[in-house]
Amino acid sequence: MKTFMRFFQRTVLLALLIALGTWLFYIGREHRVFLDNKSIERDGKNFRALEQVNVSVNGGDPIELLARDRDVAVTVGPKFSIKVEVLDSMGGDVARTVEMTMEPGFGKDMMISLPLLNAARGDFILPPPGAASAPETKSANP
Amino acid sequence: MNKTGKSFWALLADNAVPIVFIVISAIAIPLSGFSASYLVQELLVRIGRNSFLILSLLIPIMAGMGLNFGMVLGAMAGQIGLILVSDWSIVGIPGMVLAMMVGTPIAAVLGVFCGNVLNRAKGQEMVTGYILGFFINGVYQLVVLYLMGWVIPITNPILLLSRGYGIRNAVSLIGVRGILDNLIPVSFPFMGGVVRVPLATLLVIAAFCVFIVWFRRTKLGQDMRAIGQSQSVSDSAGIAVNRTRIIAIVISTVLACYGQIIYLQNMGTLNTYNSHDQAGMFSIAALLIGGASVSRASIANVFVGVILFHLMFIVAPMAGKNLIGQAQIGEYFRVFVSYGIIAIALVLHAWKRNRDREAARRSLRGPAEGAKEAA
Amino acid sequence: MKKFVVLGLLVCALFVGTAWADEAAFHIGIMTGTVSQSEDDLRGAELMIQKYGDASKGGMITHVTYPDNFMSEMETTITQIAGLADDPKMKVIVVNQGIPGTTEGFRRVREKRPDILLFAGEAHEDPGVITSAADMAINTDNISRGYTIPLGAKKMGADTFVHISFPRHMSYETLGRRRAIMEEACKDLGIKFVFETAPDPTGDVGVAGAQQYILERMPAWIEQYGKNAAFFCTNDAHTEPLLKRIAELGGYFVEADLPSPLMGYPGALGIDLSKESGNWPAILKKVEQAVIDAGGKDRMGTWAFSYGYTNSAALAEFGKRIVEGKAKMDSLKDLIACYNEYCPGSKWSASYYTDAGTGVRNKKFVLVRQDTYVFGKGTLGLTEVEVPEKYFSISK
Repeated sequence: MKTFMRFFQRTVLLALLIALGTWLFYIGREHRVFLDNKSIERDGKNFRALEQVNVSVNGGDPIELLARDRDVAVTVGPKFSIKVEVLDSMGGDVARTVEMTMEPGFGKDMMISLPLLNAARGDFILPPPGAASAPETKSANP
Repeated sequence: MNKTGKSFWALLADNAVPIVFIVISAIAIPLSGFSASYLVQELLVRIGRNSFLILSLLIPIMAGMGLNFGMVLGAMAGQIGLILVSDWSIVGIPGMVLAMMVGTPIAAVLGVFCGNVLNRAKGQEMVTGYILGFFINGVYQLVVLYLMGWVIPITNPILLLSRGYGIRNAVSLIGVRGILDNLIPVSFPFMGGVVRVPLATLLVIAAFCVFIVWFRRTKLGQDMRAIGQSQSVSDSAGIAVNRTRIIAIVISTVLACYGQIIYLQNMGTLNTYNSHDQAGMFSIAALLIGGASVSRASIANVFVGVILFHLMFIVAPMAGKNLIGQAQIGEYFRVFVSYGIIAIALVLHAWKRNRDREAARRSLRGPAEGAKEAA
Repeated sequence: MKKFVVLGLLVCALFVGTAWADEAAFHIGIMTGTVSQSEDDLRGAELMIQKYGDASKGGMITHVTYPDNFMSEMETTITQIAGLADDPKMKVIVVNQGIPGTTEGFRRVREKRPDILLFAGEAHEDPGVITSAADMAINTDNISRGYTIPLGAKKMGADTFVHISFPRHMSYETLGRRRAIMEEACKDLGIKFVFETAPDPTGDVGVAGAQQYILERMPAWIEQYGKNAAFFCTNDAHTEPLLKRIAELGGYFVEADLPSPLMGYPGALGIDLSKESGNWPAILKKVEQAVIDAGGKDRMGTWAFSYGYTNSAALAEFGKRIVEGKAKMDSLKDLIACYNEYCPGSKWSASYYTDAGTGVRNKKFVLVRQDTYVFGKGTLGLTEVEVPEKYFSISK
């Protein structure tokens, strides 16, 4: 009985540690959110890049994207808020504002297509761009 | 003078190493031209960064196993934890804690292995631990240079070599950089500059000190002290000597793992294949300089040691350069002085131990075994 | 690991107006390796001290060194860099070479003194990492040289290009990429490209074994590829025996991987340069005479000025000019002017680094190269050549 208790206690402890680890993984994960303002085709329709759009992630400074720009914002944690202000022309007035919360959760990077978001389509989330291969800077010939 | 039984000269000889270091530092500080606020800041940073590693050495010394050169195994475990956490992009305090959690089982396994080997080399623990460090270094390199990316899945291309497997030799720890140091930002103006205090790190170190003090009073701690005094007597008293020794090494290795993570979060960059090289050497050197010996070390030794040793590190290069006029001489000067002092510390310790044994023999109170003795 | 030190002392003597000031207006900190690690870098710093004075004696330059064992002693490196910022007059810090730990050192300087300019010569850390903390980082332009070296070979009269290397080097991103570019360039230029393997000096045969291999194989390679073959090797240890054989038997040698008049030539031809130490034009002349005497005229080349030496000087000079308002940080032209200043008669060219994966141009990471100087002939004019765009997207 005693060894069973010990075994049971240890299993519970182990389970708690794994749960703690998983929770830390969940809340500590850093995500790169790519903001893509490029023309894109869907269902045969072409959604043109927006002239100017200001995106503010988690209430930070707005990132300005002109047509064909791609930028990236970094967030930490399972969810983040995003506020998209679409201007009617470059440097013009705000034509439309979209605010939403997104939950990447356990996932890693994502890319948001702003023209698709502007057209209120549901499939505006794209896979992130191909992993940037960071070329190794070699040291002098050893 | 007979009250304490020690003359002034005896006192001087007992604490020869710290005194030599203090004298050299006293000369070097004005020569180096650094401002007081810079020195205080650098020392605070270094105390925060290195103390945990040095504190992890205390428990094996208590158990009579000498200076645990095998703590480098714990350092490697911590680094594997950090590499994995970097790959998973976990940042901040969760990242650091998760690295510690991942490193703990690895450090424990390595500690059990190390403890078992040391048990078969009783009396020569230090050298054995040192060589063991090299061996495990080879295993670590095998894991990190070949298995990672291949058997162990690593997805972040910034970490991998372009051939697809193997970790690059420098990993930026920007995600966990300074995370513990800057957790509780405290700074105060000091003599013309502002000094920032890594309060959270210092609190963690204080907690560890409390843990050590408490540990000494537990049954396990008392068992270890008994073993440190005399193995044969402890064995006759019913203490499981081998098992307790292994536990001492395991605790030390796991704590070294945490210490290395704290060290690296302050450094901000991980030299995958080299960061752990000097972890053991410098920690042991600092402990010896603080006045500790192979058989006895206290918490005070740790802090005196880290202050003196790192003060030398900070001022020697500039002092040497200003003294001689050539930049590279400063570097050679630092290397010469630092390692020379470690050699002197070990020699002085051996000399002092012989002297004490002589004195004890003279007063007919020598120990039954000549090998171990409270210095 | 032998490091090439780039000479980079560019010191503009602009002290005429304030000549009588005992104390310099601001300080420039230069951090290099020691002579046992990378002598050229250090000589470059010493040249600057000669020109602008040592800060401890009222001049401008503070020179510190990083440990020989820098991979294991990163703490010291970081402390040395951060220690430079303790000086209230410090305005520019140059670290050459930018060994691991430079980024962290720079981060700490930024925290304390955001006004100090931070430059890294021959950065070892990832471009993305070093440029996150430095104002500018320099590397040799291995991408462009993938094209210009075969072009130089063709100009010298070669019809075959033999690339000698080994797996470890080919696993390095920049070297592997350059080899792929060389292969493509040779195809376009009408030269035959050949890849030959030689032992790795850090492998089991050691440096001696690797050098012996080159000495023994060269006659057979010349036999096989003809006397109009150009040879190129990626490793320092291989260079010396290669040069020796080329001088004796024939063949062409455009330049070494990290070129300098001191790379390979003194050992291969038995030249004593102790009297000319630090005087690059004199060194070049003496080496040239030795090459011509050995029969290598018009067939062997190098960069007239050492890269490491020039890096130390040029970056310090560039920083100085920016602080004095005579140059702009984002002007490649101003940067090149500093390089050319210290290499009279030789030309440098520079471009920005482009990340291979994302295609993003990094304006803080500059790739430089120098014109090739062929002994007996003069410079080849390779820096004037514009490298065709297509070579920048070739990868391994």
